[in-house]
Amino acid sequence: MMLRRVRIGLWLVVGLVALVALVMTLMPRPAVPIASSQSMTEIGGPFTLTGSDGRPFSSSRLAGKPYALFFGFTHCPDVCPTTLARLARLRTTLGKGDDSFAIVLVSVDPERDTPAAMARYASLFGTPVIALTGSTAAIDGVKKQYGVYSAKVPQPGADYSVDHTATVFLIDRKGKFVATLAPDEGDEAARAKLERLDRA
Amino acid sequence: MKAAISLLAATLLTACNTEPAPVVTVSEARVIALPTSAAVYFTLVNSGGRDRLLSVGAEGAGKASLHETSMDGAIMRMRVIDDGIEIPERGQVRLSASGRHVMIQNLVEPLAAGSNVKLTLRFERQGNVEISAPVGGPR
Repeated sequence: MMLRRVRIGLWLVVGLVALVALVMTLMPRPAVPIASSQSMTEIGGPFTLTGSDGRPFSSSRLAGKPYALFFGFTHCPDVCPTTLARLARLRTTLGKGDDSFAIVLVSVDPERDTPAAMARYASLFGTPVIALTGSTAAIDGVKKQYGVYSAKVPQPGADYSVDHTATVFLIDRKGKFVATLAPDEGDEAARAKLERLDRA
Repeated sequence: MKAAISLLAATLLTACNTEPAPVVTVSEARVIALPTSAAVYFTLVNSGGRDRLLSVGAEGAGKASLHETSMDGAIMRMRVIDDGIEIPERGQVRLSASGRHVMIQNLVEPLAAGSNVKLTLRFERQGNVEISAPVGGPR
């Protein structure tokens, strides 16, 4: 009698475990955030922003030459100029002037970054930098295309800084996204990627 | 006798608590000038006791504050350093690109490459140290 009860109890446990396993298998998986699920083919795409001359700038103007795309803002004194200066330096080492790839900066601070402010900032690097800004909606559209995050962070006084994705996106001459450069990636690795971009 | 021993103990304790004076020197100072702001980097070498860099002033140039850039995955975050920068006894601290730096905002006028900016570094123990840092473009 006792033994029978134990057997029934055990079968109940087995049944319960099987049921839980079945439910877990059938349940839909939780959605993964866009930034990490965005596959290579989904990153990028055509856009229209505002050039540093204040006129519309279509990404079709970049076709025919690879480009390195970076998101930043002109009130950023540390990482943004360091990244752009590094791209300029690496481009020089490729030895083809600015023919090997274009450097494109997209503002994540359209509120303060007027076309004129972008032009002044871009002129500091001693080499052509295409500096683009635009309406908040237009900038948000491009950020979404590249899975880029940015957020205003208040600073003491009325100032603010903008936290943002510091990845450099490499786009080939057909306008296709091919690779990224991370800020902590060594110059050697970065140079190799830019050489491949130029040859592709 | 007991009183004398306590007095001696107290004196010894006080002597032990007296830290050596800091001797902090500033080197490799440079200013990266941008249209509306600037970043300042330098190295602090301490051949004495511990100290703390509390703040930096750039009188006549703009509003200076200590900042720290950090990477959170692929995201760059920049924050004000409120509690200063500790310089350990006989230690060295380097302020460099994509890390800790002085940010000058609200520039009175853009800083010209080739000029110099006067900076006052305020240390907790050593007091004020004035330096002159050369201005250059991004690199």
